[in-house]
Amino acid sequence: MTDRLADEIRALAEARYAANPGLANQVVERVRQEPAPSRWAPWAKTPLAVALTVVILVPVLGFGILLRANVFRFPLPGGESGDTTPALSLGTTGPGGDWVVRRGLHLGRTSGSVPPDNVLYQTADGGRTWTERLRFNGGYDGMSWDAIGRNGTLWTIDWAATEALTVYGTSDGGLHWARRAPTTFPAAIVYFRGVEGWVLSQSRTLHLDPAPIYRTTDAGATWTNVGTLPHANSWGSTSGVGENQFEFASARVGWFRTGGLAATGDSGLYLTTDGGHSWTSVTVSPPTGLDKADMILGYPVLFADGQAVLPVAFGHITDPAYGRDPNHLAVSAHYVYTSADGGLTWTNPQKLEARDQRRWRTHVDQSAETRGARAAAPGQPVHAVLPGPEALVDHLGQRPPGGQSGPPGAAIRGAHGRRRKHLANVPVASDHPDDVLGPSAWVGRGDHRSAQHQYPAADDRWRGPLAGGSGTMTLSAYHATQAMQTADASQ
Amino acid sequence: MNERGMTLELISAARRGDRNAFEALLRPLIDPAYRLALAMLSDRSAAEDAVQESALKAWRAVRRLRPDPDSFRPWWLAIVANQCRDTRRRRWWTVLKFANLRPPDDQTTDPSSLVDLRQAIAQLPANERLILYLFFYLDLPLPEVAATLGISTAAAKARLYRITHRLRPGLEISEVYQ
Repeated sequence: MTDRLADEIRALAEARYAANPGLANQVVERVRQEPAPSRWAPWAKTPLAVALTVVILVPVLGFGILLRANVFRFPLPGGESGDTTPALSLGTTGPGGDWVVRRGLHLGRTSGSVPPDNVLYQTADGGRTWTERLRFNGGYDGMSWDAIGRNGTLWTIDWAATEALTVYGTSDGGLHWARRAPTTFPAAIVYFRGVEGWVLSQSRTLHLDPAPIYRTTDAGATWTNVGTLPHANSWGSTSGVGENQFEFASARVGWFRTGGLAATGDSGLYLTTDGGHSWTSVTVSPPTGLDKADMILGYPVLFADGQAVLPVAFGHITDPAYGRDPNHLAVSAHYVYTSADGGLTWTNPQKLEARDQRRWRTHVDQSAETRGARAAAPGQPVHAVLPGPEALVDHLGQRPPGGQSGPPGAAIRGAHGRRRKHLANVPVASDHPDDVLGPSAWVGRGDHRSAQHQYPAADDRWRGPLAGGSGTMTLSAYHATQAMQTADASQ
Repeated sequence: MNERGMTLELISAARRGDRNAFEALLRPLIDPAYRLALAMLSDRSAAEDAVQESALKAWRAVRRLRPDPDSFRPWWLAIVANQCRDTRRRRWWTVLKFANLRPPDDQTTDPSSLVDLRQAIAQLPANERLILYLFFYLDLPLPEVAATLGISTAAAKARLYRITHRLRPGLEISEVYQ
């Protein structure tokens, strides 16, 4: 029986495997381009280093204390040796400066013998110097600040074990952080802004149907069960720092996006108008000629004047063996629906044409065989006109053309300052030294839903985006930032 | 010098920053790493990226490698596994679909039913999928599986049993490790 199980597991894995004889050479060649690793670690184990350590221990400790007291500052978040670029995640930008998280290796672990190895850094001078503010474990999920930048939260989930959510809070602009007790329930999907948050409680191993929804209004100090999400078996979970499938316009009105293909009675987008107590499937009628196509609904994009847009993709599953796995939807057309009632109803689908690079950008990776629009133009960004309210939507795929994996994420923003600030879920992180303009990262702005692009120049100082430049990722970041700046200037 | 001695020499040299030694250690383990990444990520491009990123991380951290001839493979695969977790977490388009999965209760009440193993494995947390692939697909011995996961051999054994038992409720513990 074990042999059969082993054979089945092998067969499953082998079915996906295709030899890549060139990979070893590529990898080795890439390593050859890397500088030699730091010599610091082996030295630390020599008797001489032990002696040196003792000799300098007191000054170093003193230095550390002074560092904690923010007397000294250092130029870059992580990469102590200066020759490597760490994996960085989205922080935020606010009155107190920019925040970046350097992710540790022990993703998800919050307990046991593993020391905290995620590090939160702050810069108050545009990235020239950085100060460590917090060390924490778990899978970093994002952070958020109030309008004045004093009360902030950082959200992290123990993906490896309990699946509990832990919130860190600060009330002094990030100088000191308090760790809330982890939730007593597993957290599958989290949405937060400021000190307010919603959690869909679902374990990946223990399914509850319907799945309870908890809400906090005090940065995770207390949680209240506000309702349940129906049809637990119909939704999945989306991965990504700062990503979530919730979207709330207010304490009462919100959406939950399943990420799944639409089916009868289940469009993939659920609406609540009572704070999460009850949910109904949002009705979206396909355009003429696409009524037999598969459909995936995106997130509603809300604007302050009650206008809203909803991106919707149509296509077909590439491989029937994957059933209705939305990861294998080949997208043939992108549409945008509009709403005049704040996203309660959606009408007037407009097809997005790939001709305008200023309004709508969807970056895709080069996996033509499994991903939607890649089949039409693998590796190329999809540009299209966004009809109606002017907005910029920017999805960053994994692999910008000609480059390594880029920072994934999505940025959505109203323009002209008339609309609510809204850049969604730009998780960020690129630790690829050979990105177009060098290592890059996204840094949030305002709260975790906005972002701006910064990159370190040769002197390891972080700066704002370049005007122009080359490479899809950089350009998209530039456009996103420009849109934000335009909106900011007009507000 | 036997194979273990040569491996130890290579590890010692790699820890001193010898690229050739590092390459000699790494090259035969790139394909297993690719297999593991592919199994974890189900995406060739993502798997290639994960292996490449892992190699860079391994090179940057090679001085922290233990001078033990048995240490390189689990150390390397642990980096790959972490990179895969990281990749999954960073992909904005990743959706783990539960729609067609049989609820756990149904599986226990009908153990003889034909469970779609692929969907059942897809439902597992990444760490549990990882241990399955390390043990059953890459054929790593339990101590190496444990080292890759950073847990004790006993814990790896218990975890493996728990997972396989969930996939195949009738499976006896002795059968898992025969």
